[in-house]
Amino acid sequence: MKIREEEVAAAETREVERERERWSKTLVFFLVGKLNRNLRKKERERKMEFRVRDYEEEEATYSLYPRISTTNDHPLIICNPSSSIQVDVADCGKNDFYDPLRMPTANSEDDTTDLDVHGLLTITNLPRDENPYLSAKEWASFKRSLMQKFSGSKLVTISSISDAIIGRGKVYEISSTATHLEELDNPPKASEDGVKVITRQEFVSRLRELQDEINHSWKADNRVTSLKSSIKVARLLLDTSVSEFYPTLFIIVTEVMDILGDMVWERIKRKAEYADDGTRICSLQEKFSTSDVCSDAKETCYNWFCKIGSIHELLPRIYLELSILRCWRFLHEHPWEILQRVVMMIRGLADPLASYYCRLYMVYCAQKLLPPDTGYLITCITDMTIILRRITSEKETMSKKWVEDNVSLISLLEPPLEWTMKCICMEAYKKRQYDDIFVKLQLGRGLSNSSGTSKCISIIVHHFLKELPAELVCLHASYILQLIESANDISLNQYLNYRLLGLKLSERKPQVDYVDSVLGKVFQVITQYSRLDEYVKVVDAFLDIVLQYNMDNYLTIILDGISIRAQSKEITENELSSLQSIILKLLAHFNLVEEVLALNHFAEILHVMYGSSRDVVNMHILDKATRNGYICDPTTIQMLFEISQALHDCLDIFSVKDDHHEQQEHLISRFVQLVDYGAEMEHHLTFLVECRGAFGRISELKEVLVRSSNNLVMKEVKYANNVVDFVKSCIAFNEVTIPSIVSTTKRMNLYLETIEVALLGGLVCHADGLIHSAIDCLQSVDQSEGLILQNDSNGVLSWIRKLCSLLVIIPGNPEQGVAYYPRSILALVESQSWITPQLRLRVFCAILSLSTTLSQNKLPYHAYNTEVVGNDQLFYGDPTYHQELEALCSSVLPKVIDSVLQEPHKVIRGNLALEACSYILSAYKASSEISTICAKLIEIAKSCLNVNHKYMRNTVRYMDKQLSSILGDATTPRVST
Amino acid sequence: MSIEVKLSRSNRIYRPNESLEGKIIAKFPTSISHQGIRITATGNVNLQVRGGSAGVIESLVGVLKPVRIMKESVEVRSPGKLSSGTTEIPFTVKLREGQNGFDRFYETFHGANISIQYLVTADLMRGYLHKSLSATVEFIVESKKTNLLKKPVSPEMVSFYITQDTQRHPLLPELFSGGFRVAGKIITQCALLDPLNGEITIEASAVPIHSIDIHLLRVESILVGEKIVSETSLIQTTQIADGDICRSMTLPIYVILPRLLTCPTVSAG
Repeated sequence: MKIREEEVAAAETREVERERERWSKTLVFFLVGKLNRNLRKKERERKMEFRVRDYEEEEATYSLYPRISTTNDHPLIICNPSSSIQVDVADCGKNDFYDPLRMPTANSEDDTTDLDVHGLLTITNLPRDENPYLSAKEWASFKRSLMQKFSGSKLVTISSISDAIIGRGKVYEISSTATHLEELDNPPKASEDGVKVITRQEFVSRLRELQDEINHSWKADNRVTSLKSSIKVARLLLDTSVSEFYPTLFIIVTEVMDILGDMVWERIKRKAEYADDGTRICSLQEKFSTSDVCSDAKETCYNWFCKIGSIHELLPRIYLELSILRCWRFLHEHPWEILQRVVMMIRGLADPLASYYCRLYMVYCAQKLLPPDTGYLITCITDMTIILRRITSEKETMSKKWVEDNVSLISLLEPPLEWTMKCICMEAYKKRQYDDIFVKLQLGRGLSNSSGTSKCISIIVHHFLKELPAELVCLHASYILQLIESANDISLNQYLNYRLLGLKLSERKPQVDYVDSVLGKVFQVITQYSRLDEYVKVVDAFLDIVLQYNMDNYLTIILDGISIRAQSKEITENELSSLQSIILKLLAHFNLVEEVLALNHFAEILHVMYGSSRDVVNMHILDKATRNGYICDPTTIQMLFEISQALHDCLDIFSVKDDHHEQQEHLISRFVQLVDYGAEMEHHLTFLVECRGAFGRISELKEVLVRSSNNLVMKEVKYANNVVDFVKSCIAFNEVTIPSIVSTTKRMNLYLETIEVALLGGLVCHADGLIHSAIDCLQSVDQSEGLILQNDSNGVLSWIRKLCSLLVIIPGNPEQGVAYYPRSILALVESQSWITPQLRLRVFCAILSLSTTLSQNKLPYHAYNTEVVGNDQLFYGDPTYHQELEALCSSVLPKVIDSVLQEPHKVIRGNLALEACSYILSAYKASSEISTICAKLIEIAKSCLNVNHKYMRNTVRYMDKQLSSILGDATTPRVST
Repeated sequence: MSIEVKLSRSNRIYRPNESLEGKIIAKFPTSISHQGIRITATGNVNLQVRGGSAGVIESLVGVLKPVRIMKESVEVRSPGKLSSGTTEIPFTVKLREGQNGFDRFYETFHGANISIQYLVTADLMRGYLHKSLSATVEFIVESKKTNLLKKPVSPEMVSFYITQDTQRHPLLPELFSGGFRVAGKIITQCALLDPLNGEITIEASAVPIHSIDIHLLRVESILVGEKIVSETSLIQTTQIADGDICRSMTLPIYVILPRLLTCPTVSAG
């Protein structure tokens, strides 16, 4: 995908590439050295002489090139615009940070709501299941979230009630007499002396011990002991002073209760199914009736209820009865009728915390009885409401401390309320009786009678709303709005209800006019909010609808509102995440990034953001911007540049997260790549210079910068004439930029590219310098990096071959001599220890070919730019020029055989010998000296390869043909095939 | 080396004229010889003093020997040998009314001062040199349903009010001035197998409520001369409210009557 993208972007460089392609093809062509039929009349000379070649004719005869007639046929060229669009779309889906699940939300409160909305979705999407009750799995996940939510303090203060824990556990401060006295008097719970502190961990492990005890004594047929221990455990819940720890305590205790309940159930079931001596009497169906149960089992069952009934204290009695509530099925035809009594019994628990959690356990246990109606749940909620009302309505003592205490208490009460509501709505969903619930919950009562006592409690409205399916919310939106309006108390801030309404409404599409009236009312309320936090949360929820229905007036109001509220103060984390979500929604909605950037106050809002949210937003903006092709508008470019700068400045802070990092770098590079100033190329270059200064840490970007600047040269060369100065500055820019790139591979590629571009621009001097730098670059490769490059020896080879091909057109420097660069290349391959014999040999061959080519009277190709004069014209007929080349080659030739012999692998050695032989044959005219060398090489090949090796036979045949002119010479060893 | 008695019914309830069935489980490491295994069922009425404090009944009755109301004895195994390991010996004792000079069975009752108790004992006699082994288990006698009152008990509810004015014992001054009002209703007659039902509502209370408990009292009385002498003892306390509960909320009264501490049926009284 990446390659594809780059190709699209680099359409301008294609020219260069095509050119390069052609050259290298030609080069390969004559390097491989096919047979040349137009051999001159052979002269028997001792001296080695370069073979003379007519490249034009050779090309015409052997080239594959004409067969690819039109450039459009090239397999890599994209000619179908629709396919490229498809690619883009697919890319949208694939780009993973667009994934909404990965969106980081710092706000925990927000998190839970979001999660719960998802949870609700899954519930409402549930097919009409046979069993609509909340499953054990859900209960488990509910328990987990409960534990997580209240995992605050590490220490637990325990009062005398928790004897069971203190009993054998370690306690930091023990005053036995005080404990004893307390037990006698049963005094208020937290008398000074009796307060002990124990760590959470110890508390839990002590409870687990108790649980084991219960299990053990049960297995040892000591059922009364296990019942007694269970009562002890249940009594722990009497102590609500542990507050934050209470939910955890509740979970552990109820787990113990469940274990007991299961054991009792199994025992009685067994009694009912098997006789004393183990024979099977009957097997109880899933839905058995009491008549199926034998009297013995009934008796045992009743006995359990009697035992539990004799517990003095109310709370443990209720918990234990609940734990074996299921067993009523053995005794009672309609066991759910018991529930109403249990619900009422719970009213006897005055402590809000204890009674709420007791109700939670009741609701959980009641599900096992499969009750046919929700009456008991409704009573439950009503009772809960009464307690909440009591907490929220004591207005006369509105001290700050009091409010804080109550708010934390309410947060503890929330989970049971939530679960109960969930159960009610599940049931209602099953029966499609939502209207009924409105009536039964008496939520409507607050409306007719808005004065005083029977107002709705906002937290109840909240959870009710949360569980209602979205269709229903849409249907009753104005009614629900009234409910929300009437419910304003400390239990839950009203704005959260508005927010929830917004979220629910955006799940389904309500009718437009309807939405308008609802939005009108909501905005009336929220414009009163002075706190940014509340404002953005609500606005965020409604934004989807606003955008969906193109209500631009509301969008203006929203952005105005945010900017007014954001000015005054520091932005908190919570607000940041909401702002982030708002901006992301805006980005997702509009097609073009320009539209978003042009929105009122958008820049302002962006400026108040900071930290990771800012980064996320910035990344999304950049992503959006780089999706739709070139970015031409200067103001947009300026804004995006600033955004990129902000992103870049944070890079080192986030250096830990590499993945994230990479994405940001990539986005910035993409952006720079896509910037297009059109005809104002000077501006573009200035922009590139700015980018280099601003984004120094991104190595990926430097490559893009060099490519872009090369692009600029190409464009300039194509359209304008008097360009030397501009091209010069571009090339100079590259010359400065390339050395700062770390990767040798990239550096080499860019050098080669830039050399070509410089030649196109006619800048011989620069090209010369660049070749120098390129060789230096290879020279500077050290041992360790060399080993890496070695694996890609073809890469190194192709660089050198490419360099050689470029040297064909670069005019030789009269001062240094034409052989200066080939010699430095030779020096390079001989000095670097990481270069393999194979690679070295091939480089030698390339140098041989280069020399032959340069010695021709007419070079196979010339520079595109006519200002660059070829060597053939420059040195035409100059004897020193030819001497220099011949000297170069004669120094190379012996090394060829040496390096062949250095190759350790036998088969490769053989092949190399053949390869070298072909090269030499195509480079030199036939002579005895040449035939000696070739015969040596063939000898080596024969010692390494099979006689019937095809390549060898062909090479030998080729040699025979080439050397036929001197066949008669007796000194020439005849090679038989 | 032990023996154990196990009754056929797990709840150990038997009715007059039924057979008390069960088995003696003997476990011995080696085989032993014995001079017979005997099972004995006895029933006694005790008037006793418990708890140390001298009550009215105690002062009247003094030390009274337990009155035996039943004794049945059966030899289940004639003298012989029992092999090692576990041996189970089944037995049956017929509980016959009007036998051996005892007129009828009274139902089992465990009171504070009066108790009616039935025991079944297994004895394994081993001559003079060895100690005999024995094991005792209580069984419960319950009257037949036909002996119950003919009319089925119809639950009868009475309403009640408790205010500062209805209480005879001294009250806290703030409670007296502020006042309180508790309304409710409770069943006055019910089968002992059924729970005691009712409801209670705190309508007002000047001071916070600490707890609401239901006390189950037992009245035991005997005929002394021409007078009936009664004594009341607390047998169970059941909390129905813990803490300062909401006003005007109806709470249920629900007490399961403890079986061994009361009469299994009403016919005993």
